Amino acid sequence: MKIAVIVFPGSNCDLDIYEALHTVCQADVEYVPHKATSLAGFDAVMIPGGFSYGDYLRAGAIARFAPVMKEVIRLAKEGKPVFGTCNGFQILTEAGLLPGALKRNDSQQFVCKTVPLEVVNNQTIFTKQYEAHERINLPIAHADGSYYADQATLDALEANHQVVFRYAEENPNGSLNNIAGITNQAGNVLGMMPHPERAVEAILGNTDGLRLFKSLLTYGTVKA
Amino acid sequence: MKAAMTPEEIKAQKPYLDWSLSEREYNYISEKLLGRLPNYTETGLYSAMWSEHCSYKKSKPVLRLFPNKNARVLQGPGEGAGVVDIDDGQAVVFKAESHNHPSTVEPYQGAATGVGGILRDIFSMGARPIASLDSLHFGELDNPTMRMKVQNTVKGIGDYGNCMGIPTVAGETTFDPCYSGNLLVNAMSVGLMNQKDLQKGTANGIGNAVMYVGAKTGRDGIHGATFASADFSDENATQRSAVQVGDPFMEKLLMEACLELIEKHPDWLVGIQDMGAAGIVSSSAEMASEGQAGMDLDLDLVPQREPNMSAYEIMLSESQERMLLCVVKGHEADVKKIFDFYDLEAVTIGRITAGHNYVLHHDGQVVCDIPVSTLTDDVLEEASEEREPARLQAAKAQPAWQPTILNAEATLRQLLAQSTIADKSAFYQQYDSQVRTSTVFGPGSDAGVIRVRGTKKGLAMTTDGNGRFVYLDPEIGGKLALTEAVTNIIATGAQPLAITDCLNYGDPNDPEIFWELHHSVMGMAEACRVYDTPVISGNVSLYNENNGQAIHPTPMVGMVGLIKDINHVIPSFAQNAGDQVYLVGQTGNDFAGSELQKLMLGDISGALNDIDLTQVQAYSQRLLREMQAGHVASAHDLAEGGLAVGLAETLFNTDLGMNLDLTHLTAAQLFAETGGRFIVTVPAEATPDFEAAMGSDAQKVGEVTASHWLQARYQGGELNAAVAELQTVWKEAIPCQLKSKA
Repeated sequence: MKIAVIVFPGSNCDLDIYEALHTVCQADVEYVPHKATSLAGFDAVMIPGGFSYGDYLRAGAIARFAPVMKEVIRLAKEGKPVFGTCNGFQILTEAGLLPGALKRNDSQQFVCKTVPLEVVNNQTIFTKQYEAHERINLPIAHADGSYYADQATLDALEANHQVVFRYAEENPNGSLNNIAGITNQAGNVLGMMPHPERAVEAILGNTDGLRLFKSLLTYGTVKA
Repeated sequence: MKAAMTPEEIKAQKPYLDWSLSEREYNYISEKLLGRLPNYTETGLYSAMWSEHCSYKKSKPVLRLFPNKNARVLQGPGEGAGVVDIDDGQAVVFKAESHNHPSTVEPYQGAATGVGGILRDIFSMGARPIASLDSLHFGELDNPTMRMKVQNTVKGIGDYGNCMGIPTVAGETTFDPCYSGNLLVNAMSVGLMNQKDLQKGTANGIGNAVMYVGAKTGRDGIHGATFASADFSDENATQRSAVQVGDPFMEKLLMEACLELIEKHPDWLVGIQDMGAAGIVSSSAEMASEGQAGMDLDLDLVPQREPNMSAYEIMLSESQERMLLCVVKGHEADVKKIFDFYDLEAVTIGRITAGHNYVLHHDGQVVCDIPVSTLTDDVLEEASEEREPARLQAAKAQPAWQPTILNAEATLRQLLAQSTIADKSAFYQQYDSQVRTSTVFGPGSDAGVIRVRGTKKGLAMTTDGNGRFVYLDPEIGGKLALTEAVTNIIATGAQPLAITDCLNYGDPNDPEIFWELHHSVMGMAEACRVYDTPVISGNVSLYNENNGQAIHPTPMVGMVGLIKDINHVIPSFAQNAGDQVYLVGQTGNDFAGSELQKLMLGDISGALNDIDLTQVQAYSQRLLREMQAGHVASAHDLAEGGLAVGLAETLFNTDLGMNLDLTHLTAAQLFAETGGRFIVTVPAEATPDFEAAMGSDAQKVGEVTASHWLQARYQGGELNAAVAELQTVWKEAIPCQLKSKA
């Protein structure tokens, strides 16, 4: 499985997700700049966190127009895994690959800390190594993480089991239904505000995110 | 801006006095250096370059007291940042800078651009910034104006660093009325590089290009350097035009472009420097001076954000996110291609010339033609008068204050709620402390720790500035500032390497203030020698006054240490029930300047006891070896609030407790702030080795327990406190004050 890490101007978790896959998981992974016009040969796409285009206008609003996004959308429509964390989640909603939107945190402040999550759906290609309803802890670091969608969309997300992660104790940003991460209806596109790539090494104090990448990579092996 | 005056009008009307250039300096420039009257632009350039901020003309004689070399130092003061060898062909690069004046006027932008400026200093050396730290000193949180300033300062630091993707991993935040009218906002950045990529701010080679890269030049920040070289008063309360505006997204692109150029095409580049204080003039003149070259610049080519800017404005603008490069002739287009990818300006604005003159063209005219060295090297150093402050003599004559503690637990709770001691997570949770996924210890630890990816090494880093001690005794206070930094670094299992500093003082024209500067530097310099931590970079921020009221003299020490094996990093929290607890270092009656004194008397007073630096160094090094040998489970240095506060902190965020025999100490001594002490926990099986190594410098005082209680017997009493309750007091103090409506 060959994985692309998309680098937009202002992406800053590209290194983190690259290292999690490359060094920790020994996966085949490459950086792809935002100006690239082809993702031919890639089997999965990672959209990293950061401040693409400075988050100017609105988080993710400009990145969706970057040349590479046409290809990201093509792969998503073909059913290939597409994963976005933090700013990546924001970009995926702005690009219409995931429903809803991420609003400013209800505290009006950036917040960086580790929060407890519930793995609501462990039947996705990203979460099958987690137990059903398992409690895990992952870091968050964002100012615009308050998930919003209209009631009909929320109902559909819940009915289709598209809510994958939920904030388990406190809701750090005001997200509706305590939503921390969702997939598209087909289940191949996952967006989440927490950063699993920051929790893959014991020396950094947390490995709860590792199984997300392992799940994805095993899926790749089985498919191949 | 007034229409440019003629040289004769300048001589007669003396506008330079408003730009902090003295008549003596003006006359020296015109009579001795130029042999003619400088024109308007030239006068402006001199006033900026000869400001204290750029020239250190007042502080230089004092700064010479600092040691700045040892076997590991690759680059000392004088460049963008200092560089220290960390083996394997790698180096750590670091520097701190103050942004006190802009932050006082406009906390959000002042703090943000402080972070931006220090990051540029790091990547201009060829290093990638890997961590940021800060040292913030505010007035008390008891009024809405200060709360607003605190919140905006924190937001400014967070917004800039978070967007850049550089983790903010450590720092300090203190509160005292002396900072109400003049905040201290010091930012430090740490970078990592391969030694082969080391760059210098230099320009030479006749015909080589001077290239301007990054953001356009606007009218913001004009005279920022001279603004930082004068006092505040209500009369000049609105000096916003001297404050710059930051754009971290632009800086992120600039950093990536500059590092790509440095790492992949070093042969195209002669030198590189950040346009910081005094903008284009300081960067270009300093580069030409370093390269002993002449330089010819055409200001019409400078990318400009606003129309009709004068030469004076272009040269002195402190618009952010700009760098100056000296590029080998013929590679201008290659360099431009790199910056084009990032949609950044990259324009050749001039050439290196034969000779040693600094020539500026604007609107078809030569607006400046002066020897480079007159801007950078010929600055008149100023001998300053100094006099021991009267309060110091008076304090020595007074008997030492001896507090009486009636209820140690109540005192501990009160201290934990003091804003300087209380939990700062309300602030640091607004900083991304984990991006780049190398943060082993983030904020809340004694020092931040970053692992060096691809190696076994780690870097520990801390900022420490305690104005209270320096105010009471500048020399001993200077030693204590270094000692606190050393103990913070050692507590993580790291060997201190070197320091950077920000020297924050009042108006040096006041002989008492200059004495404070001089004597605190004497104390710091002595400690630097004993601890073998030379000063490799730093800055001086004088004139921190408002309406004639100076801040406490507050030298900030930024220290970096090396951990040889990151698997031996030592946490500051207790780890296991059954571990033995040791107090390392002696406890004295050190109450002058303590948080206890501030709590009980409302102010600080008295004389400080001296500290035996050699002894601290000796046992700290032995402690470090014990850590490296795997004999230590946790270590925490003792600072504000003394032993009792330190013990509570060691237990916070754990489910453990301690049972201690402190009967060799009085109730008051539980809160004494004697420097150079640690609370260390040791696994039972390692105690024989630990005790043999530490001897009388470590005293066994009890053990870690499974119950979440802090129990301690002291002379004449017993402390028995539920740690969870103490933690609640500590955690809620600042959020509660921030929410206050009063």
